[in-house]
Amino acid sequence: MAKKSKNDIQTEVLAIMARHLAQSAIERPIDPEILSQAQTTINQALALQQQMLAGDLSSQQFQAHQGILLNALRVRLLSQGGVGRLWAQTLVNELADLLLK
Amino acid sequence: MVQGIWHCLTYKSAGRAVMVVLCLLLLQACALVPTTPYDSSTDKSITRLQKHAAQHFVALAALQGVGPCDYAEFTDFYDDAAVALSGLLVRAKALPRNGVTVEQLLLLQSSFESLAKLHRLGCLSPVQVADVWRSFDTSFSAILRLELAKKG
Repeated sequence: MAKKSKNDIQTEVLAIMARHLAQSAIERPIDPEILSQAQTTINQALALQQQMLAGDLSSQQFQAHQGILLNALRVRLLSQGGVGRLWAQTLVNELADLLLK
Repeated sequence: MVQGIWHCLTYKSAGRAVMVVLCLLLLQACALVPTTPYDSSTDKSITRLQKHAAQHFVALAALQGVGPCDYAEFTDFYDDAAVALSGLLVRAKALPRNGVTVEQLLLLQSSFESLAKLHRLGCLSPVQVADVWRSFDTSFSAILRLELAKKG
């Protein structure tokens, strides 16, 4: 199987983040504070991705670690009351912007 | 003159309509969702599990390069955490209107499984320990925040 390019992996990370976040946030109101945590999560995910590209992490380790990061964000989203699904959409768009830069 | 007054009224009406819509959106955002009452057993069990996890991360961080850090050395922790989470989930599912807490606990269970998988794949680096620890603390805080909010 051909080795994935950096862009392929970024697209995958984006897809995973967007899917998890949309799934968690679509039915639950979320707080603007979430945005900050989401950005932190994205930064951590991108750092992990760089480690994987550098050969310091296997793809299995990347997936497992990223799963923990995403789950923490999803748990956080579930505990929030507030602003609604519009924020969720904004959040996902911001994540997309961050990842595709 | 009449046209000017009409325009003025139209703008005022539009302004009022916007205000009404904004108020309705605000009310909707603040709508109360029925949920189960506060459960002190869940509170205590989550706090206990958080302490157990923190001890695990402290141990992993302290072992860097000075002791065995293989998964095999830590199976007790993963087994105990799985049992604790199973108990928490059984109780949470038994309580009515407790779906959000159940979802959170299922995600936490998944995180523990991912942590075990990550550990089976190799020893965790100091950066990994710090990152994962932060993520677990975020999850524990969020679950406790929701549980404590049920008190009000």
